[in-house]
Amino acid sequence: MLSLLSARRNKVGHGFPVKPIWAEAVVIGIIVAAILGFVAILNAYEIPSRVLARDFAARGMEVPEGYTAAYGIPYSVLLLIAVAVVMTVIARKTRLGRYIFATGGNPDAAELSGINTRLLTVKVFSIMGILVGISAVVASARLTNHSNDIGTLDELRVIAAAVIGGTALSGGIGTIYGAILGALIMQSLQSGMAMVGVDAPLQNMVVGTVLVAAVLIDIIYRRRVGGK
Amino acid sequence: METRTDPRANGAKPLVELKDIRIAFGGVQAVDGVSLDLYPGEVVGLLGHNGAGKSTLIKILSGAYKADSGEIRIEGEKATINSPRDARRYNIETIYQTLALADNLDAASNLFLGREIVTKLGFVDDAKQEAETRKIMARLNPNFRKLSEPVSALSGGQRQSVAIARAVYFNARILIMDEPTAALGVHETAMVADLIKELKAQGLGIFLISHDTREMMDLCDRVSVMKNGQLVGTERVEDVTEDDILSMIIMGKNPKRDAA
Ligand SMILES: Nc1ncnc2c1ncn2[C@@H]1O[C@H](COP(=O)(O)OP(=O)(O)OP(=O)(O)O)[C@@H](O)[C@H]1O
Ligand SMILES: [Mg+2]
Repeated sequence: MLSLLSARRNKVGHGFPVKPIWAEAVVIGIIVAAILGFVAILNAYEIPSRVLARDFAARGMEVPEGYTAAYGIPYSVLLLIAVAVVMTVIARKTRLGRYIFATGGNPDAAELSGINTRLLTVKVFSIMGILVGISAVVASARLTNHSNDIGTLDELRVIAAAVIGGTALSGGIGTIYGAILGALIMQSLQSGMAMVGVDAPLQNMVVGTVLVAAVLIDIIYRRRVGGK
Repeated sequence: METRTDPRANGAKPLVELKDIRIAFGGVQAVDGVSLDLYPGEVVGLLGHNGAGKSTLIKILSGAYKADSGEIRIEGEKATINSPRDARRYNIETIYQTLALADNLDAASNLFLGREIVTKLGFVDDAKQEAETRKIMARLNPNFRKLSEPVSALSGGQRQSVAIARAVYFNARILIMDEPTAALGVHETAMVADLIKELKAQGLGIFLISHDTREMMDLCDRVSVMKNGQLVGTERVEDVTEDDILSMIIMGKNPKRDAA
């Protein structure tokens, strides 16, 4: 919201056309409502009283009269939001992000524009390393403990998620929130299959098929719209 | 017709000296011992058949290629240009024949690529960049409106305008233009010609590549002709006719010179 306001001030400062104040206010209102609604829904799931009783018993205490607790927002979701915000800012607002997009779009042009594309590649890989580190911490925290092969083949699902979310495999196009939406779709698919009892090998096959289909559609679609 | 003063007459130092530059790609000797110089306030035209090595030669000056041998001197000092970043450090700006634009970014992002305007917090100041782009484009291509669309959505001439804008915006001292008007309309070409004259008056040195000999006669002080990677010759435009230049390009020799 603050960024929305500051963007507006900036535009006015340079004499660009801007949306009327009321439209901006409606947008801000919708965003605020969405955030509050999201928190309210997650807080509406209450921890069952038996679970509470067990927790308190473990600490040697009685459950106070009329005490309830909500699940609230899991840390991993908060972490996701934080990472998404930080990465979006990096991608859209920093020179590094601009260079990454430029190099993805046309590496030769980026190099000729004075961007050190080789150093940039190293930077991109280290960002990826950091993000993989964070996801690994979350993944192993959820499972309390796990052997060191956790996350095997997750890269395929990640690629599928990114492509479904609108990232071009040829490079230079894509958004963070798109990738998150893609991940939600992939995970819904996976969880859904697990719920209806699809066998694990079959699940992998479905994920692979989705990946191939997503890439195929990506290529065909971009050819249609005249991209490369 | 304007009077042309030879910048070399008043003892000025050359801005750029290319000495015996050579580069080969595999078996092809693309540039074969070419020497050129460029003085402040001068436009040197580079002519030659397709594949003569013009683009390759100027790409060596702009840092895109590294010469196999030869020497580059800038204002008399030996210059080491190993990358486009080095060339920018010497205030060399280039309009590439291929334009070298990132198709997925908009005009403003392309114009400032590698040299973004940042806010106090270190973020890219998109609004300011767009305003500056608007200003410079008004001088090059007044009909240009598509500022916030990716340049892949622009016409060939519009893309060329973006590339020209990028080269002239950042106070270059040495400007390299590789067929800058190839895709431009009549009016836009005239505007670029005016711009070249204006930049020349400001004391920039300009290498101009074009296949349009008439345009070259009009804009350049001297023209150099290349053929098969070798320099055929460099002539002051007052000393030659268009036909002389054509025969230098096609036959690789200057009839007048040979007759004398
Ligand atoms: N990157 C490269 N790899 C291999 N060969 C190349 C490369 N760049 C240029 N060449 C070769 O070098 C020679 C000179 O090419 P160059 O692009 O300099 O020609 P040019 O004079 O600019 O021609 P045009 O008028 O068509 O632009 C050509 O024979 C070309 O095939
Ligand atoms: Mg060329």
